[in-house]
Amino acid sequence: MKVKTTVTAVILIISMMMVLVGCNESDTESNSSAPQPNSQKELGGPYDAYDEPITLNIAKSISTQNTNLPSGDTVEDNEYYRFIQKKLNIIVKHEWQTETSEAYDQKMGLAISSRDLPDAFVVNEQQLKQLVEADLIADLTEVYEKTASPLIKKYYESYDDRVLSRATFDGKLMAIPSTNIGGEFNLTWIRQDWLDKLGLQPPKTVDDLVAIAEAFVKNDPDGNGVADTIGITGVPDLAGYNVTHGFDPIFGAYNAFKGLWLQDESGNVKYSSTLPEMKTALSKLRDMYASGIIDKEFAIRKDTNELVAGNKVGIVFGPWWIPYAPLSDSVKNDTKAEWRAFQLPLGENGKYNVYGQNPTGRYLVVSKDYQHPEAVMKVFNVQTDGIRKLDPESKDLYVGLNVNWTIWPLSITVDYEDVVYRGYLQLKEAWDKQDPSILTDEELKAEYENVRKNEENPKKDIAAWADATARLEAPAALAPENLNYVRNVFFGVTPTMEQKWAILSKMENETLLKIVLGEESLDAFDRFTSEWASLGGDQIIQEIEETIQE
Amino acid sequence: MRHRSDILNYHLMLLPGVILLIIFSIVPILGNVIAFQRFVPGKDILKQQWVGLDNFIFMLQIPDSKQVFWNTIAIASMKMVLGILVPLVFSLLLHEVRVGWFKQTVQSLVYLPHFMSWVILSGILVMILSLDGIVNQILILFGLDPIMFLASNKWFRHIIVWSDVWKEFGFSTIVYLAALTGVNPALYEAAEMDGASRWGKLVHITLPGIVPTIVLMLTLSMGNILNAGFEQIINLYNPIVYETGDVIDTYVYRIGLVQMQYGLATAVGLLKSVVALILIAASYRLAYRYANYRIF
Amino acid sequence: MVRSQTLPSRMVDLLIVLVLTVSSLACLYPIWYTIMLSFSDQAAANAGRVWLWPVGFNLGSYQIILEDAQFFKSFGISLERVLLGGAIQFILTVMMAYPLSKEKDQFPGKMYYVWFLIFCMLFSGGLIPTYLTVTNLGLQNSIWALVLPGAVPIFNVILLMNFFRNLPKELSEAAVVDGAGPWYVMLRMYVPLSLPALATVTLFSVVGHWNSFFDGLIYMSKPEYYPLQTYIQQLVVRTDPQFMQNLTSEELIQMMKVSNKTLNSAKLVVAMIPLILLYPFLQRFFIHGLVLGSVKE
Repeated sequence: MKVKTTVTAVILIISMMMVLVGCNESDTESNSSAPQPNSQKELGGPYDAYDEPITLNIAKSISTQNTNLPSGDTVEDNEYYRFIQKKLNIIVKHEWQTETSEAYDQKMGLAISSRDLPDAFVVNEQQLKQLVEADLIADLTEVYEKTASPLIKKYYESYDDRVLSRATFDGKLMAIPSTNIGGEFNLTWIRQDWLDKLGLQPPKTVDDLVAIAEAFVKNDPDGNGVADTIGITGVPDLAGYNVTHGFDPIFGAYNAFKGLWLQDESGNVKYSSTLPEMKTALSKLRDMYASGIIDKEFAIRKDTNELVAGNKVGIVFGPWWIPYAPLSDSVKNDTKAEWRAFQLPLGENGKYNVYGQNPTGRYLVVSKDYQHPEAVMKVFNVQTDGIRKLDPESKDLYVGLNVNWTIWPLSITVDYEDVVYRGYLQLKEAWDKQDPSILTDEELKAEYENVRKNEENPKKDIAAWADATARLEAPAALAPENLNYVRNVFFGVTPTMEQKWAILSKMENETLLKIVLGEESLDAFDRFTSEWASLGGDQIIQEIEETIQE
Repeated sequence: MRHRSDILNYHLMLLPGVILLIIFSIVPILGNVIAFQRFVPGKDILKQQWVGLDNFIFMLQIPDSKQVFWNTIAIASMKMVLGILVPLVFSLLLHEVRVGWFKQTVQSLVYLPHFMSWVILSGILVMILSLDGIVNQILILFGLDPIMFLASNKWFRHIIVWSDVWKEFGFSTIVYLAALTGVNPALYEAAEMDGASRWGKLVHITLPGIVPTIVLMLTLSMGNILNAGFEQIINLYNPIVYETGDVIDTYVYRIGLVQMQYGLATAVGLLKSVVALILIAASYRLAYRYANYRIF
Repeated sequence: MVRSQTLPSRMVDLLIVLVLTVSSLACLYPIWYTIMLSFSDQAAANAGRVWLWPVGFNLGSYQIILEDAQFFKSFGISLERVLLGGAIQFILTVMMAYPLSKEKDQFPGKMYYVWFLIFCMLFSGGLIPTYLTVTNLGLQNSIWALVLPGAVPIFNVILLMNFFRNLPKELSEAAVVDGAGPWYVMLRMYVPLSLPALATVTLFSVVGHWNSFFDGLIYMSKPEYYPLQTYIQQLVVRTDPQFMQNLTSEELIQMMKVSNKTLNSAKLVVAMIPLILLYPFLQRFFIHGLVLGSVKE
């Protein structure tokens, strides 16, 4: 008797809860099937203000630490936000915010699942696809066409169609993508002071590099009498764009690349990790590892930068910006350290073989329920002009306070693909002429200042040294004349990839790493390529080729 | 009458907790339907595409499923057994200590690693186990070759298990110490007078006194039979040790990097829970049938 | 109690002390190392030069953490959740453990509750259903989102239930004869005699609430509402290129004073301090032989 009543009570309560939850669900359901705002209505021009003030609720990841904002201003209430209100009559508010982007991604995932979305927000590629499939975001094709500023359109054009196409579904532009600038492939950084000490020249070929690494290991370049220096560092995944310590320069010298979908002249797609060039490159790496010039523990080290900071290594593969970190630590700990970036070693074609980046990855989307999608574009216009200091009305906001650009509302940026090299050319010209006045860009002016500071007192101010090295030294190695740019033709996920990619990439990473470490023979590579193809690789290639034809 | 009202009071005492559990546990548990869907966040839960047992089949069908499942069970079982033995032995040792300040200090120190996250601990562990780290230096001293522990399929599981035991034993010890206080001191005195040895006292008084607690902890730990320790392994593993160290959770995590894996992850979670329930229920049954002892 | 002082016995004592000391040091070292890191200069920490003492002593990491008023606000929120949540958990743990510690004949239907609890302990809907439940009840941005979902700490209940079961039956029987009801027996007899077990579950409770950070993240929309761990967790030095390429040199100098290594260490130390102090405080409740004398044999 007691049990029965208890059980009945329990069932009643459960059903009540389900009804409650269900009710809430259907409420939000009916909201999103509300009709789209009248698309005939006037969108206005890129900078047209609204007659009546409107609100724009966003979600944002912004650190409230060290914002350098004057007291009284917060990340939600500051000069930039007030300027947007003044110029466009749009009040931007934070529906929610987090301190880091990881936290943001997690909360965003939950927000999408609960269908409780702000008016405008930034998402990653996976979330974008979910939103499109769930039909929760607005079609921005017309908004972009009519209200994007000319400058923003120019930025996107520098990528041809590679960026906007990623946000286009069924011919409709569903998001405003962020652009990832180019030029961040790995260069070969070498301790020039060690080269000088041992009387060596920069490496033209891989064998030169091997000789240098050997000398670094055996001939005690740090002069402390102990054989504690390492030749070359690495990472367990072996390579990757913008991955410090990736072996990309060595792979590149053999025209091999890890993890790219390449298209040959006849239009066939191939997976670069399964090509014969990869086998050759692996063989070389394998020999290098066996002979001890590659860090024996590269596959298990948690923090390879420690070796750099501790000045235990003289060759580092990394992009142009590593003077900021970890090279700065190296210099801090040993002021004799002279780091130089090289577009070396060269491939058989006499060029430095590199590959491009994923040109985008973050997307600004607008909720389908929001009445003024063009407002988002307008805010982006004003914001971009403000960041580039092109609008006389906004360029003096917070001048001299070092307020970061991320304080502006929207968390995406667009820029020319080759902005780093462009900036370098201008900076170099000004420096050669010793005339900073020809620089119009505020950032370039600040960089010039740091170059000067570092020239006067080399390495006294590590931050200045880093800026000078990264902006004036390293980008010389980005000079396009000697580069052979290879492009990944596909960045998405095909149906077979959903099923099989985890197992395929596990096989790839495991096999390639074991080959380099000598735990598997080179023949394992042939086994890998055939298994990869039959386990799903061929199917994926077919699907990719079909997608590209469209 | 008294009997009746007692029982009524018992139900009353349980009521608030049960209500809270229904709201915050049972209702979300209904969400396990996701395990049978190809879940796309953003679509209404009832409008998702139903795929029946596909998510489960997927997990069982991947070429590495045997390897992954076996790794999970092997690591989890070792952790389970050692996770009982080590704290138990340690608490017994601690129990022998009479010097108050020493006992308290030791207790306070050994429970600290529980609070460190694997992100930091893995960095320290890598440092200790590196080729020029302490462990290898000792090996060299004894004339042995240094070993790259974290790249070795022979050693990886041991490292995972023992480092986890080291991290958690201090915290589990607390439970046993509390249980030890419940053993009647009069029994010890009587045994002393009968001339019992230290060892004898341990075996005939102490251990039997805390057997209920040991059995309980063992049974509850079975709930973790498929939890090999995601956070720990993801911070310590690398492709070389996938063979012995890749577990269900790390595998599902890597799938999630490429595609939506909510349905799959929920299916895996459901599977874990069902297996755990079966094991615990079985233990309860066995204990009752063969030792006439009810664990709960 | 006279302890025999025979040689084998003393050697065993020595061995025990040795084992305990070594274990303690082994547990202490990583914490010590982390503390030393937190006080070290970032470049030295990054170079792996820190072993036993800070290198380049500086308080930069702590400055970052403590400088912000939000730290103290979040500290307060964590305190609130520990006190409120801890109290609720304590009350529910005792109230549920007591009836469940009765035998089947005294409390028919007990096993249904026990298996219900086990079921809830093992099964979970996962993140999304739980999140939906809490938000549909409108609890987000309030302390209740942190306190209610985990209000029944099932593991603790079972632990305490087990402890209650092992108390002598004569206790409650005697009280019943004297006319006491279940509430009285529970509050006036079982509770005072179970101090070690209660201290244990309290410790677990407090630790659970203090360390919890994920729920703070998903249920709070602004940092003002974050409990401490959620807030600290997110203090990270950004070194990703997208961010860095737009930094000015002043910002870079700032960034170069601390690195994630030292900052994470400092975060850990700050988060752990209350816990380090808590256990010694609770140890006084681990009293031997509480039950002695309460039952006439």
